Amino acid sequence: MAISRNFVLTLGTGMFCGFFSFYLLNSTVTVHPHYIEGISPPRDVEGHAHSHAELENAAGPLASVSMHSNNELHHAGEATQAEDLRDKVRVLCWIMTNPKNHEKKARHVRATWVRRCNKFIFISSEEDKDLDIVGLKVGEGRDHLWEKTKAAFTYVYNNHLNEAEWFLKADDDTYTIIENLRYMLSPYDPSQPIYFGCRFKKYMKDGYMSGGAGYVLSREALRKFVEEGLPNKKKCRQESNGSEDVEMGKCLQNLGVKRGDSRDSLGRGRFFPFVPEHHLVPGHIGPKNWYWDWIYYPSQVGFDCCSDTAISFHYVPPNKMYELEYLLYHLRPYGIVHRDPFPPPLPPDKSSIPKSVLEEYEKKEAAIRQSKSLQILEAKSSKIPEVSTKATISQVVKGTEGENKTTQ
Amino acid sequence: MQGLSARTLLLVLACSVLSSMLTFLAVTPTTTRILSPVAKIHERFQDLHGHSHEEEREIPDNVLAQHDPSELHHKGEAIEAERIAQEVKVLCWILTSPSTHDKKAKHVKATWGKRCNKLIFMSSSNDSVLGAIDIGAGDGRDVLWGKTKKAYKYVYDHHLNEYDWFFKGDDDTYVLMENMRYMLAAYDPTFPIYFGSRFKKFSKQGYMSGGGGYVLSRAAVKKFIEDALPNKLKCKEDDTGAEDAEMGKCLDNIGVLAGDSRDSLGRGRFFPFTPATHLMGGVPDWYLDYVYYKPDTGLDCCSDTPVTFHYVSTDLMYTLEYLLYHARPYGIVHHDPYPAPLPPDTKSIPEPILEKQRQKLEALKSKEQQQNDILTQKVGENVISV
Repeated sequence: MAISRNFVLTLGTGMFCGFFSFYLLNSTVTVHPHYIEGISPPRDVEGHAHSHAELENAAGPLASVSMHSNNELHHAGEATQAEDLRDKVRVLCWIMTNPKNHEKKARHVRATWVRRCNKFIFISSEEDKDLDIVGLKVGEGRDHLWEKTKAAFTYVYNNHLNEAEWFLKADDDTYTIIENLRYMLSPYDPSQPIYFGCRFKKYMKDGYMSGGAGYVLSREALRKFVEEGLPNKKKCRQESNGSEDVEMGKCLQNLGVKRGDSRDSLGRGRFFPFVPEHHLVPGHIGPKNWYWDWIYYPSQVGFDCCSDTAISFHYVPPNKMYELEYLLYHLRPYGIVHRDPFPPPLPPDKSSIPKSVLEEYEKKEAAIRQSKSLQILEAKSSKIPEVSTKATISQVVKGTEGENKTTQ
Repeated sequence: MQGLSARTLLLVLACSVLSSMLTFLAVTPTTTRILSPVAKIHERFQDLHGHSHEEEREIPDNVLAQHDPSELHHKGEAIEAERIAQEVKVLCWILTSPSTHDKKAKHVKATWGKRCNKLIFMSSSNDSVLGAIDIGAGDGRDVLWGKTKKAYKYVYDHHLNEYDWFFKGDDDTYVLMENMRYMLAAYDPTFPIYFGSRFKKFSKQGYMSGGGGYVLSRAAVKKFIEDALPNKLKCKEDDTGAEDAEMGKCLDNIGVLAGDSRDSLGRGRFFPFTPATHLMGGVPDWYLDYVYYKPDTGLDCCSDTPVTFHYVSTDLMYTLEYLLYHARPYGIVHHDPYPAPLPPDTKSIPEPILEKQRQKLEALKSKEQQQNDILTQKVGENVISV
């Protein structure tokens, strides 16, 4: 049967119209005016990632996410103590990112925790002024991470050395509670070479700090790294490749930078290579997981894993950053008022604490103890009733009873 | 074949358009965006009855012990919370079943459940260690309404005068009891009122989501048992039906006021989904259709003093416990005004409370006026206090 030209034309036009109209409809329709459109992989992978590969496609919402204002009635005046510490313990944060992740991830770090650093920059191989992303001449990919780390610290050293006492490196899937970082760092002296993070025990005598969980260098450690370490091939790996955290660890060990104990005084960790649930709930980090073999200090699952003043979590997808913001900085049970001791008590591993810090701390403790006992003495002495010198001991002991009989 | 008729051509056109549309739909993964009413209802049904959202991840065999309240980062933190717990007494009863005593109920008790003034699990078998009783309503989703009625009857018979408020939740609801008391402290338990995550369907006042939890005043429980239950015109007699919708209809029929559980900034406090879902706009379409007060997305969705979340897996329960009651950013000290300021919907606030608020405002105004008068007088007398 011969098919007429008209027939073919009509069929073709019909199909074209059908496809095209639905294509348009599909690309312009939003599910609901109030939805924030997001591109996220299935829940299974995203919230429970154990590797960067699993978070490759994780992205946050396209639109910006609303926040509560600082002046609102449930927020006004809440941060005075935190702000006080902010001026005394200055932290510069640099976040490792790459062009693929500027929009998907870096933007959400920028909208959440990184604002609390005294100064923050994102380090990538391409610049983006709107997102405070600095473009350095480095390659991209896992083979260039060490190169990027060296370039980043050099950049920070050249441009911002005197703007902070402490220098934090984090990934674009690390979530950091900066107030607790300052809290932990407050007893330490930035003019001593020391660095803190989630301490692993592999590859070198003193271990090294996990890259993903974030690590923080004192100003002196940064200075030594850039001035003495980087130019010296005997101290620091000159090539571009290598695990940045392992190489950093080796380099800093060769420079005599102390490894700090970032746990709290109860031995609970503060820097974490996974999200909170993985450390809290048994079954996520199974007994055969590499973590147990690598972690320097004894660690457990359950609430004892984690300090009340925890500092960082890793493999945090962008959507979860907003969730953590809400749960940590906004949502609160009414009537629970935390009173964290200041200065913070020191961690258990005394060998990781510089002598001068230990001495300083002991002096402060002694002073507090003295003033407390003075207060007790004063309180006691104000209770002794006024008696004349001729009063007998028994009359004094009788207290007010003796008072009236002592005037002679 | 020469020149097909115009009618035939039109038919061909229509068919090709239709077939290519259908092909497109079948091929693209985003077909759910163009929802049909049927798909919507099915999804809603799934959410209501399937509890299919959260697949259980690893569930710990034993309950997890938490940081001791006498520890140095916890000592003395709960004075105000403990005070309000004595002032606003809440009995919590949780719908559960023998198959989830160990998987869910036990963990509810180890986390937020312990903060209720009284906690009872309404189940179909007794367990004195857990605190579960066989309420005699059987098991399964189609007897939930029967179970709810029996549960409220039980608390009416045994505990009515010991507590002020009576909360119903599921064993995958997570509750911040301090915030429930904070919200309820402004209200009078002798007034028949109830609160929850408010939906607008099925009755004039709407109803409160079952999974998101709802809380009745003592007077509301009394009315429910005495006025509603015996009257089949007011309250569905048989045991089937969606317990939350039936509850809403009953309470509406007997004049119990549906409260506004939002905070004074219009942000929600009772939620039928997890924090992440509400924050990032992942709520299903039907929710946006049912919700009584229009929600926002981002952090504006949610109050700083929220009360409930739902579809909370055991994992998430412990994680929330840690993030809300343990982890804290150093140096941030919250000052929440007490009593909690009232929500925006004044129609949902009992008149005596509105009257009290008006009187307070009047008193404040007249105080301000007095102070202004004194100042004006002083200036007039050329007395300037430096």
